[in-house]
Amino acid sequence: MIKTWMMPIVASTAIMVLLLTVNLMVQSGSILLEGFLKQREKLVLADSLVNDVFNSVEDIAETSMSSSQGNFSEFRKILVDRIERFKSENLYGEFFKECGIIAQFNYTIETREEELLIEVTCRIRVSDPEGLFEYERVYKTVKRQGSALYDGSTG
Amino acid sequence: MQFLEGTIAIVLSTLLLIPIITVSQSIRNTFERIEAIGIDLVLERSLAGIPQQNLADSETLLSEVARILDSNGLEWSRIELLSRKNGRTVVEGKQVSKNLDEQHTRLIRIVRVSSEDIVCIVVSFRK
Repeated sequence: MIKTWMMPIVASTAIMVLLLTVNLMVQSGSILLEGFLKQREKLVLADSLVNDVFNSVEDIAETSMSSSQGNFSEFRKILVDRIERFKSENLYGEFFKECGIIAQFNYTIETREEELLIEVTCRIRVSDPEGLFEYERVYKTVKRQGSALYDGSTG
Repeated sequence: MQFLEGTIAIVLSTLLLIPIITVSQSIRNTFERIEAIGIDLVLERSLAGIPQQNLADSETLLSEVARILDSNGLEWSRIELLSRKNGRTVVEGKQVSKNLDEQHTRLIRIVRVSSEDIVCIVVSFRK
């Protein structure tokens, strides 16, 4: 039987148990939030890198078109050369590996009537103590002789 | 008997205080880490937003990075650019105490790519 003088002690004990329970819930929630924000941080970095790669391909396509001076087969040849050089020097070079990033870059060029459909797939892998993070996006652009027609990006 | 009951109750309460204090401290540390990650996210987004044409020139890129750090109110100690074409460029922050060691600084690293070059931007700033 609980004595009258013990009631404050029992009540404070019950409050402390409740406080501890709430603290543990807040702690587990904050740990989950921290994990989520860390993943988001990796996503921001990978997404910016992929955006850079796609913008670079767009630049290469534009400069190749200018260099070809209206010759469509020349345009395709210059484009392939420059993309291959970009791929080997920037994406598959030692520099990227030293930064702890692995990039997989694939592209296809489809020739249609006086236009080229360029499809680029870029996959970024970042390896850190917390594990492997992988991110992939596909980019498509169409270059018509004389001007760009359409470009779009899909996740 | 009453003395025993009272003693048990007081000891139990005291024992509960220890995990409460421990968990509260742990929550505080987690919130500090969350705040730091939030700052890093804002900074990384800003650095990712630097136009690609600015990546070719190290001086322009350095001033752009310094501007972003200053506008976010960060006390930066060092900005390092590692470029495949231009090599390594380092700028030390003047306003930060030179006694700043690794325990009090945080690192952010972001890789930017352009059609001609690839640059790794590393920023050290006060925690």
